[in-house]
Formats: sequence, C-alpha cells, structure tokens
Amino acid sequence: MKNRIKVLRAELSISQDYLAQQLGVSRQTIHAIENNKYSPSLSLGMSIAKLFNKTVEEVFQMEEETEKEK
Amino acid sequence: MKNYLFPTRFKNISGLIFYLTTLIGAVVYISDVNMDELLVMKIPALINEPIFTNNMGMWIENGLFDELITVVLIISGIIHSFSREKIEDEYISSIRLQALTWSIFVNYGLVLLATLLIFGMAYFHVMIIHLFSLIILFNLRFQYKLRAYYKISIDEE
Repeated sequence: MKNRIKVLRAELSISQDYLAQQLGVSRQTIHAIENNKYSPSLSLGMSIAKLFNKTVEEVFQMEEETEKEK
Repeated sequence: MKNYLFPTRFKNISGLIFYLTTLIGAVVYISDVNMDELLVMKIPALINEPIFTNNMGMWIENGLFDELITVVLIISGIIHSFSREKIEDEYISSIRLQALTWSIFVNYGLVLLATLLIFGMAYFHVMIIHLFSLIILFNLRFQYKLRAYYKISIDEE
C-alpha cells in the first residue's frame, strides 16, 4: 500500500515528530509508514487522513490502483 | 483495546534480572556444580519420587537453587518482553507479534531436530533447555528488532 503522507506533510510543513505526537505514535512509526515498511491499521489510517483533512483514499492507495493510474 | 502489557518502569530492571539469571543459570548448568546441593531446605512438595504412588503432599529436603533460577528467569523474561515501550504503538505491537511467531517457529524447529537426532540421557538436556529456549529466543529476537526500529533514520523530515 502506498501513501502520500510525506507529500501532504511537506505541503503543510509538518514534521514527522509533530505528526507522531498528534497521532500518539512514535516518529519511527511515521517514518516506517511513509516508506511503505509498515501498513497502518484502519483506525490509524483514518486518523492520519482526518488530520490532513482528506479522505482515506486520498492519503492511501493500494499498489494495484497506483499501477492502473500510471 | 486491552493489551495485557506491564508498565514501562518494569522493563529495564526485569531485563537486567533476566539476562543476569540466564547467564548464571547457563554457567551453573554447564559447570559440575550439583544444583540440588545449593540452598537446601525443607519445603512442601505435592509430588516427589517415586511418581506413581498415592503418596501426595509431603515435606522434603531439596536444594532450591534450580527452582529459584527457573522461576526468576521465566517471570523476568515474560515481564521484560511484555512491558510497554515509552511510546507503545501498533507498529511496536506488530514487531512483538512477529518476534513471537519467529521464536516459536525456530524453537520448535530446533526441538524437532533434536528429537530426531539426539537420544538417550542427552535428550534430557534438550528438555531442560527447552524449558527456557522459547522465552530466551523471543527476548533476543524482539530486542534485536526493537533496536533496529529505534535506529530508523529520522532525518527525512
């Protein structure tokens, strides 16, 4: 599963540390999610999307979907 | 969601006790020291040799050193592995679960191998080691993976 967290974070000038604090997770977890080393749970995924004021689909995409879009 | 973990404050002290007890236990086990002669005292026992008698519940003279090492190692190992991290999130939980899965596979793989290759009284040692191998393997794997997790680069902000 791919995600746009790094891009969305850059747009809002938010650090990994700030995002982690807002979500109650560690900075390393945000780093792992951004680099597709870990797929977050549904509740964490929804919390991330809510924090960026986006829908879950706008933040996370399945690998197949991103391949089709190309 | 309830996760049955111990408070963070127990993590370091239980780790120290666990690794120290593992070391002492291993050294004493490998050496020629007769553990039944250490810390001898009269204690209550539910069952003692011979096993298949109706004689249950008695007082026996027994060296408590091996029982002490066993109890301390198991309890400290469980507390050390199942204590909360400072920031206990779902990624840490997944690392813990993966480490547990890995250690069960490796532990029982080794037991199967030993069962097929080791015979006679030597197999008695396999059973003794097997008492502790799962918790030791799990701890080592989990701590190794945790260390890698905390080393994740944080400069990409």
